[in-house]
Amino acid sequence: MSGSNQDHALSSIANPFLGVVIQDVWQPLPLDVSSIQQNAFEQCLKGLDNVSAGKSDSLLIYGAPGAGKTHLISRFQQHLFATAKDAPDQALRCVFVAVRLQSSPTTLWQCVRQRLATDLLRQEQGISQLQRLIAHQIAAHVKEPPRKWVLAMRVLTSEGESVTEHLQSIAENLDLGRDVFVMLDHLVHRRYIFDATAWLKGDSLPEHVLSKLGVGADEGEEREEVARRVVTTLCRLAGETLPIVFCFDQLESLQRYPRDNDAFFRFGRMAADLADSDPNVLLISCVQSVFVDDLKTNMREADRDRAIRRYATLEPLTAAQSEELVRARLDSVPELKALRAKKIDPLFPIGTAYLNQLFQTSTRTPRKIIAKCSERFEELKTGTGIEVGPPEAVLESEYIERRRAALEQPPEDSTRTLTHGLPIAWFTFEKCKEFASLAALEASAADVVLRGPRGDFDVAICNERNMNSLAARFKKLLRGRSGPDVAGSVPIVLRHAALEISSGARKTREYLDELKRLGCRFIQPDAEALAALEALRSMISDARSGDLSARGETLEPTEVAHWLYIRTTPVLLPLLTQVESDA
Amino acid sequence: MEHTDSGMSVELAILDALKFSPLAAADLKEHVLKRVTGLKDKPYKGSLGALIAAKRIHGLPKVGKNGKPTRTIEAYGLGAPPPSPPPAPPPRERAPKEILELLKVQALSPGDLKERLKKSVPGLAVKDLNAVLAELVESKQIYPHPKRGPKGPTKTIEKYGLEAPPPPSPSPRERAPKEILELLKPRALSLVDLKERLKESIPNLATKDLTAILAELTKTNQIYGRRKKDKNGKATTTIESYAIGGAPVDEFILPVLATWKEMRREAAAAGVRDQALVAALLDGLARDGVSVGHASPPVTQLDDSAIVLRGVRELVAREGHGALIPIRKLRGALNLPKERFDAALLGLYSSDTLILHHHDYVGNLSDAERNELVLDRHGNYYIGVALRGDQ
Repeated sequence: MSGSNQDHALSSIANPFLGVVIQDVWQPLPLDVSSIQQNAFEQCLKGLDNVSAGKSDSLLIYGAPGAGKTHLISRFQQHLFATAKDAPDQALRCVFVAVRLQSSPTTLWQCVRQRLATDLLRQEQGISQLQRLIAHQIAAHVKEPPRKWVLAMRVLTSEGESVTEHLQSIAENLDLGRDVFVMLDHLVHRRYIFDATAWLKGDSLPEHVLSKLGVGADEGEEREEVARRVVTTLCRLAGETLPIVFCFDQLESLQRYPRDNDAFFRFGRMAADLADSDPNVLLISCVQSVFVDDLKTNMREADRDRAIRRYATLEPLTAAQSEELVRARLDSVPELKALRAKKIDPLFPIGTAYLNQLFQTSTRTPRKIIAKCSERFEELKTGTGIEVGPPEAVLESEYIERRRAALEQPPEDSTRTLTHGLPIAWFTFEKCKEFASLAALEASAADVVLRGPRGDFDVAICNERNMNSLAARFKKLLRGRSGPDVAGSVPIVLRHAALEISSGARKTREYLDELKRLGCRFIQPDAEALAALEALRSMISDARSGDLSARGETLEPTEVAHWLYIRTTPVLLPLLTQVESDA
Repeated sequence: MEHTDSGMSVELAILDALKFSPLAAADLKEHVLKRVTGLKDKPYKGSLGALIAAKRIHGLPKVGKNGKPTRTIEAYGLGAPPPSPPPAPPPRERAPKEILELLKVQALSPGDLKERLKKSVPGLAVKDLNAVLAELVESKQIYPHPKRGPKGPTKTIEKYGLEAPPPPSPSPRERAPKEILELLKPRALSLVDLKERLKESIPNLATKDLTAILAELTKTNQIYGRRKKDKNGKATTTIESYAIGGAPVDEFILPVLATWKEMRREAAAAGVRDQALVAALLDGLARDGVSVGHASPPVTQLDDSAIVLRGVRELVAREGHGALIPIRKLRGALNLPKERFDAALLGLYSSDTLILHHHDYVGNLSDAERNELVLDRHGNYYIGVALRGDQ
């Protein structure tokens, strides 16, 4: 790069184009140009209007990587927050649930349950979204303004006034079921918040905690089915004055391997059930354009009609929009704004000619325009060009950060790592080219079906902390072995090495011994291997969603997978080999 | 010849001294003088002459600078004189072999070669040397290495060698076109920027050469010089920037399409249908000498655009407002030749009539799958088409 390009006036000014990928919809938007993706944004608002009027709606937003899917959802969420004073309770227009679908298609409902519970318990103006939902339901029930009951909720405590009677009536009307009712009662009255939240999320709880909460013991019921029931039950709390909006991002991450069409089939089933649960539920799903056809093709027609009622396309930027975007970024740094005021070129220092050229030749997504302008700014600032390492450096830094975060997670969280990550790693390490249809899992007590040299085999992830739940799980696996298909493969049981089986859990141990006697292998992966698996899982998912990029260029999933294969081999290969041996 | 006793003893002394090996004249005389005390020069020479005449010894003449024997006897040996060697070939004939021997060691400049040949092939005339060199070059036994000047090889020969000289590195004038195309590949550059960057890689490129090269590249549509526009939006003669590729047709047609869009809306409001409008436009173009006759093929891109746009609208109507139509599906529905389909779709995208969705990683696709997509001239692949949200 020629040193003559350097503009010394820029040397002390921060690059306004740094930071291009929005990872989290709750993250405040650094800058928002409202004219960009205006149409898709209006479609979201229209969707909210529809469900607020009791008219079911669902929207599929699609666009190229870097077109701003997550940014749009974040704008929508922040718009709802900014305009909340217009809501019936003058505080919240809807309950907003954001789900990044980095999950196994086999645990989709569990993923949604966990996300729904987390977002329902997000506090806003002194009360949680869940309390607000219940306040609106009571208001509708007693035909009073929602605001009155929202204010009442703010002063409810475990010792003071009670709304249990109202809640009971609502539970009967909406057919919430006893366990959900009990848990809502605790949470509304701020009792056992920690444990009740954990129950709502679907965590495995010790027997004495379940007893304290007043709900039945875990009898090894199908976890996915339980999650489906809890989620659809909670959705019935949505009402015209307070609808629920689900935003599903990164649909493509559900795929265990490229062209895993089962994943989209499962999503269709789940989305259709959610849409059916209540007319005041809005579904917004985001997917890359390249997956739209596969998504539609692999859903059941009946599911598609409910999960995708409308479409919104994320459009490439127009010339005026790209100029507005660049100008907004440039003006976001006060020193630069002052310097620019003296210049003739409205896009100084980037230059109108440079942007025009970029607009003509690139794919016109905000991410690409911002990344290229970032490079240009750095080049002008230093005269040497931006110091960005090769893609490998970006991958290494991502890997280290994600592995570190995974090591800090509680052991139970490795369930998602294993159910989603194991098939992804299996494919990445070329243990197989494709997997059996998920339909094969329907009748199985296992969580994952992998393909080995001798055919398919089951893997059960048993990270239950509650020994009764664990015993029930083992018993269920044993029942599977005593069925008509006893000749089938023996399941492999995986449990985090840090999760011990207590010495007093006699039944649990008996069942485990019996499983082992029947040939079941019990593998306890350590935290290091699971952290590497978690990093691999999340990075490949992000790559598939077009959310891993270097210098504005989306990193190819196959390249990311190859890099991870080499990087994680020393830690992961022994685990995968152990799983594969004799399978 | 009369022999005296003393004469006999001198002759014997000479023969004795030479019995083992020839001796230099001075050494022989010294040897004999030791044996025959008081021997004078005259009888010694007489004895030598007698022995030579009787062919019992022979004198070896000294070789002169020209390689020819002189009259001076350098040494003496026993027996009759050896038969005289065949006469040496003339220098003209010896020269080729000698030149090849000399060049076997290293390549030599013409001056050095001449100097060395003077010693090994004395008497070689300059005109003979030139003729020999020409013959050797002609028969590709040796190669002249021309001297290089700032503009490349000159006529002067720097040296001769047995190997052909390495191919000459291209001149700045020759290197410049490729370098310019490389520099413009990532992005368009103003003439000043282009010159600045070329200075780094080809410092000696003359301005007039650069001008000529830019003109040539522009003429052959390898690069495009975008003209600066004045306040009224009209193109001036100043080139604002150079970009790779030929002139983008879009640039000229965009304003036309914008006007077309506006007029079409007005026409629709006035009840004029698209078909009539397109027919009238084609007639107008034909009157202007543009062969886009509506009566016979070939079908124009304008027709193709209308066909593609109609196809997109039909499929969107079927799939739902805002739906993405896979290009594969649209291509299948319309059955237009690939080139025309692609050109029409890219044209509609350029005019903002519809939007194309790109594919970021086509590396995993097969050639056949890639071929189903649309590729623009900047290397971007498109997988789907949609109407703008307000359509």
